Amino acid sequence: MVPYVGDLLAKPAKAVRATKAIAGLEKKVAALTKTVTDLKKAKKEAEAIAAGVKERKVVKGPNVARDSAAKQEKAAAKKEKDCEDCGSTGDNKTKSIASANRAGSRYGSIPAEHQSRYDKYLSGPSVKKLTPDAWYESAKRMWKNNADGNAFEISARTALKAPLGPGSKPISIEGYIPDLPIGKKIRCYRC
Amino acid sequence: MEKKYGVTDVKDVINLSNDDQLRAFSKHALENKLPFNSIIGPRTQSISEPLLDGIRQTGGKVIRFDPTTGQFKNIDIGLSGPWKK
Repeated sequence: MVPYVGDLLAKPAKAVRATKAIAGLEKKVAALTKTVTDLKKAKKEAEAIAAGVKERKVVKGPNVARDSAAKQEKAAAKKEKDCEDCGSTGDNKTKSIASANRAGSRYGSIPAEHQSRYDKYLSGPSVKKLTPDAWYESAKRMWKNNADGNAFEISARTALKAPLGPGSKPISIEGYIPDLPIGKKIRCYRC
Repeated sequence: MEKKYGVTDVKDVINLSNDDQLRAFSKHALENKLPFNSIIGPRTQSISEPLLDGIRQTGGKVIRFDPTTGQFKNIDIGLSGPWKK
């Protein structure tokens, strides 16, 4: 009889303890699930912020140029307005130039054939983005330097009777091409 | 007169200095026992010492070319130091 009485008392007590333990575990699971959810949310937010910052960095450069272009456009428009205001004399030529400037203000004074180069420059890696007019001035200076340098080299090669034209520089040293053939004897008439 | 090109570079700049290209030429000239020369223009004002040392090491010359007259003139680069017009 005694063992039965013991069981009778112990089993419900055990059941109560087990239920309590399960309830405790369930609470812990719920708390951990909430923590994981919060962390996931925070991660998503952090990723969104990082993406936003990156996007802003990429767009920042061209925006500077775009802002400058917009400023130029405003200035051109103002100029034109001024001309219209004072243009009671009917200076159609000035008016048409101002209109043309306004139409092409995104590219300033860059001629149509070089506008794609400016676009390429804006989307390039350059940190400092020049305004259309500043870029065109800089590009013209570079083109002139290149042309002058090449003209000088050609005249020196001509004076040395060195070969000119395609295939005249077949040698490369570490990826650099010397201006004159290497180690070849030549007759220098003017030296 | 007969003359060897050696390894010769033509540069029409105001200040000429030893860049990667000229360093490579100088090295190649030294390794192949060729003179490393430089042809400069009338507007060149200075040549850096490291570049001149590369030229001196190979027994090379600095020659000024005037495109208007078509004349070449040897420049005295001395035994050490940079060159200034």
